Amino acid sequence: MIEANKAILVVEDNPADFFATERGLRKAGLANPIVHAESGEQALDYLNGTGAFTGQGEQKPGIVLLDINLPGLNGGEVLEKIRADDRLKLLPVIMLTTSSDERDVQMAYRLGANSYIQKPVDLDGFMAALKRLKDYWFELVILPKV
Amino acid sequence: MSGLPKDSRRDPIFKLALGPVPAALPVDELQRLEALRETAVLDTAPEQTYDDLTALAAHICGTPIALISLVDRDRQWFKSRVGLAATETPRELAFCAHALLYPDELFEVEDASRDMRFAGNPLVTDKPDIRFYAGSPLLSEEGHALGTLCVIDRKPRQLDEHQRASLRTIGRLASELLRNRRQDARVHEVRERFRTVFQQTSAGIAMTDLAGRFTLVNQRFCTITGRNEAELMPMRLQDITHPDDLAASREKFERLVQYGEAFTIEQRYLRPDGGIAWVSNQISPILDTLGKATAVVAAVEDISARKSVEAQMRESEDRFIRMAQHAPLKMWITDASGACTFLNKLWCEFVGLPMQDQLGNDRSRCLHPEDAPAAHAAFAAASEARQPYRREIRLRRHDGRYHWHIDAAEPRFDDDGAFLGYVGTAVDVQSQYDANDRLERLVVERTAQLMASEARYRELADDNPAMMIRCRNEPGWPMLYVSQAVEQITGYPPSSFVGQQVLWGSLILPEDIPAMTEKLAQQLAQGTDIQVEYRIRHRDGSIRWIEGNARLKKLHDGSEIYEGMNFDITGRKAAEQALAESEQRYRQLADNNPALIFRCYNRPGWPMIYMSQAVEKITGYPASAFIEGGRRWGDMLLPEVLEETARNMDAQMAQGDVVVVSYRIRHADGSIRWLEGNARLLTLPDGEQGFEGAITDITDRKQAQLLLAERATALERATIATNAARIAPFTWYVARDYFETDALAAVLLGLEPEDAAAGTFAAYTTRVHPDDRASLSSEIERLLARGGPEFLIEFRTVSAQGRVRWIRSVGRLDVMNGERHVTGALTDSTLEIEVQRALEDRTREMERANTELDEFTYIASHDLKEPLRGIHNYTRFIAEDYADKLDAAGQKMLKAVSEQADRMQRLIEDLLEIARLGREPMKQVETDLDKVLDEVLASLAFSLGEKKVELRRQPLGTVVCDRVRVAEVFRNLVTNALKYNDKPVPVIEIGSRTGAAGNPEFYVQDNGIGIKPDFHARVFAPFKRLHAKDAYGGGSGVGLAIVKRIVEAHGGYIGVRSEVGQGATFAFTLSGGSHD
Repeated sequence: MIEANKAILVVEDNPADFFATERGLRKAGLANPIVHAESGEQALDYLNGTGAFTGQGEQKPGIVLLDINLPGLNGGEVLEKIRADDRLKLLPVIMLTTSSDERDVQMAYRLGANSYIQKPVDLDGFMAALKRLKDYWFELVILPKV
Repeated sequence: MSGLPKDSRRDPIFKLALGPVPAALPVDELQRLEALRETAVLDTAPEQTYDDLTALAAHICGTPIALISLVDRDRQWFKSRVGLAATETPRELAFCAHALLYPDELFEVEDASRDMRFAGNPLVTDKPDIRFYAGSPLLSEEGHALGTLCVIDRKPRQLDEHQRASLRTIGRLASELLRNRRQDARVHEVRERFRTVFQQTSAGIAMTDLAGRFTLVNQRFCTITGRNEAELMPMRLQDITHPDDLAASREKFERLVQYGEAFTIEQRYLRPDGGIAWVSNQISPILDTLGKATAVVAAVEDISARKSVEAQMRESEDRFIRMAQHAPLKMWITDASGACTFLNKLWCEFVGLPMQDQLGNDRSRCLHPEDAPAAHAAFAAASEARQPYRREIRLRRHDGRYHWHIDAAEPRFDDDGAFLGYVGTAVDVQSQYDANDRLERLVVERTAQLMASEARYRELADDNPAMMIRCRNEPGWPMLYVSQAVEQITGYPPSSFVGQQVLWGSLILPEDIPAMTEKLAQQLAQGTDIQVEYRIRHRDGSIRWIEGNARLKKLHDGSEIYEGMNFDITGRKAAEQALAESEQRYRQLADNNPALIFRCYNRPGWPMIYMSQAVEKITGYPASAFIEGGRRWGDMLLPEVLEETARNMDAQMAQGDVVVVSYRIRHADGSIRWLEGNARLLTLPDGEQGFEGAITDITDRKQAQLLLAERATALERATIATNAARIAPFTWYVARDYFETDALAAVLLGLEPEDAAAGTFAAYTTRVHPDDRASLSSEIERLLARGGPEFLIEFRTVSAQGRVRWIRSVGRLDVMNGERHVTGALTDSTLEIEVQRALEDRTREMERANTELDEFTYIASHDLKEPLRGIHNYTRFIAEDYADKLDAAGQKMLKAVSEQADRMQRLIEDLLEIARLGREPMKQVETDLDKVLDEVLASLAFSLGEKKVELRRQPLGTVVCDRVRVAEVFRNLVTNALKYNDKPVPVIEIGSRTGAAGNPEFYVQDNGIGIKPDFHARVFAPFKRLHAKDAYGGGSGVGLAIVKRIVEAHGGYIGVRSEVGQGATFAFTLSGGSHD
């Protein structure tokens, strides 16, 4: 159960995909604030209160939805950095990506992702997946209180 | 004592029952006998003093017989007798023998016939019919009973007290006489012994006064110094000492006189003939009771032999160094720190550095830089462990070229076992095989042996103590006297020998005894003094060589003794043996070498002193013919070359002392042989000038050279012919590095035509392209290593003008007359190779381009799809969120946008498909085509149902193909059949039949709109559509192009049969090539 005030960090470089993701989550009934990072660097800056987010302090969202294919740092590297940070180690991270490559799946789980979801190509499918994601991760599953 | 019948003695039985009862031996019998012997009285002539005593005894006791009797081992002998004719009787019969058992008493027998001990004694039963006996023992100073003074009568009686007392007194007088006699004898003996020893000893002994003036000299001293006694007497020790040795001995002599300090010194004595005697001189003082020196004794031993051995050892060492200089392999010696102390001629010539420049450093700078560090480490490790060292290394020749060598060395040690460094050799394994490899190993062995024997000699060549002996000439040589030195020599003290616990003979090694006794017998027969050599076993188990010097002496009592001195000569023996062994090994070494190793005088004809066994093979004569037989080496040479050779040698000797000449000789079998001699001028031990070196038979080599010259002409002729064909032949004599070829070859190799004269391999390959040098070298090495036979090598050359040629070199490796040579031809293959390379390059480029194209296509289409998805989604979102705000037109437009995006998507997917076909390899497996068709039709079920298509199917069978791609083919064809159909009931038939080539042909037939024959070919071109974009459901126009690609990738073909309005049949195969 994620408290309603906890933010959802979505790391996605494609604005259209982000738009669709946000829409899907809202349609699924999610009320939490959604934060959009367009790159791995931006995501880490947000989490650590550095770079463009200097002065805003360290953040701990309720969950992170992480794409693999990002400009600069790719999703795997972002995941690695999150897991290396004692403060963020227990943060739930879900890979949400177009890639179904087995190598990406292996890498994600090896680096400590909590879950791996391939975005369906068709819109309806995508929306349905987001609903299931929301039901599972935001209602069913117990997450550590950190 | 009696109790027997009076006449019993006449009773024959009685007589038989009793024989003489011999007396038991007294407990001190051995000592007693020794004392007796020392008294030296036995068998001497009667003497008045003794006769007086017996006369007195007989008179006082009133007996007819009185005797002074000495009891020897087996007899009693009378020194003096009254009334008895016999001079001796056997001991068993002696009454006196019994008397010995009672040395403190008078021994009386009243009636011997009644005494059990004597009743059966013939002296009693027969003449002289002894009845009464009384004897007073004669005692030595130690109390041993030597015999008796006794009186005897023929009738039984007794003595009265007066007589007894007198007898005892007279006995004591007799004992006194004997004692004095013994003393005298002893003194006499000592004097005799001394005299014997003094003269006997093999050491020269001289006694001098404190000024050094001779007072007494023995024979040996005279022999050693070359002067007789008369000449020596007025002289002093100093007078015969070599001036260079005087100073050292003078100082010590003074200390001896002052403080009584004995010393030993090695020095030279001058002989009157001008010669020198090397001696080891042991000089001791004779001290009086106060400890002051009163006289001097000098014991000298002639060590000339040892000195000569030492000199010979040194000479051997020099000979070794000389031999090393001549050895046909490189040699080096290092000290314990690894710095060079000797590098032989061959080494220095090879590396192109004089020895002086290299001494004191290690050899690293002569090694290949890659090999030097590891070799240095290995050498250091071997040095630490004092182990032999062996390593293969590349050695730098003077011209910068590296030759692989086997670098091997043995460690060497001094006599204390300290590590001195290494003696090593380096064998060029790069060059041809040489029997001198064996020489190298043998030389190393010999060096090690020389070193070892030198060490052993020094260890054992210590001063030898001498021991004086006096022993009986009986088995085992029981010692009567032996000096203290025996303890050092044998490990047993003198008492062990004198006390008979240890017999000298038991120490001698059994295997030496026969020879020794024979020599002894010989010398005794000749009457000369004894000198024998034999080995004994020391108490500690070690073997010692002994030289025994003795003289045999007969004593008054008839026994024989040896007197003399024994020396421990182990050291000298060891040195002699080592020298003999190393001489032998040197000879073996020389004999094993195929070269004739020799030593001769530098006189006309070169008279030979030593020749190794090889002389027999080389000349047909044995060494003895030259050395003893008088055959001169000069006579072996052909007369016409003799003078020239001698002149050549003189010329070389003017430059230095090394001579290398070649000449012809006539072999014993009449044939002519070419010989090459390497020799060094030196001074021989006897002072004359001579040569020492090696001679090899080079007939084969010379013959080969001559043959070569003959062939050269033939070669010239051949060259002209091959030049016409632009093929350049060549021959390379590997061992001599003699590369022979013509002008064309020179040009091909990038050189000027003038450079065609013969040269080295290196000279000819200077213009080989730098990138090809390494591979050319390794190819050559491989060819040589495997011994041929044929090869083909390609490389580039760059001429001075910069022209690059590709050269193809073919040929063979042969062996002729023991020499390896490579013959072959060079051709210019530049054009051929360039064309080939260009072709390869082009192909590679094309492949690269294709790959890049495929990748690009894949990435491009993937990236293109993303925004399309975005467009599609956004239009959906707008439609969902703003549906109420849009009118119908707006909604239609939105829909159109979406459809456009979808079309774009499909187009891209088709493009992706084409690219994928190019990228992914085909997976050809046995495929059930009917099943594949089932899946395809299932995926199109909706459309097929919607359009109410009548489907007719024939079995397709199983075929080896790429399942996914073939599915794609069917889907495309069926989809087309569906799309291009305007009939109310579309009919699609799918089946297979046997094609023209005999393989299965699959077809998809429809009753659709058909295709004009003009367009049959065009229909398969990508993006080619025959109808308007939107007609018949649109389509990217790529489908058939894809199908064609797939079918052709399987090695099959596709075609269409169709008329407008008559439907179309698309038929394809999946194998069998194209059809027309």
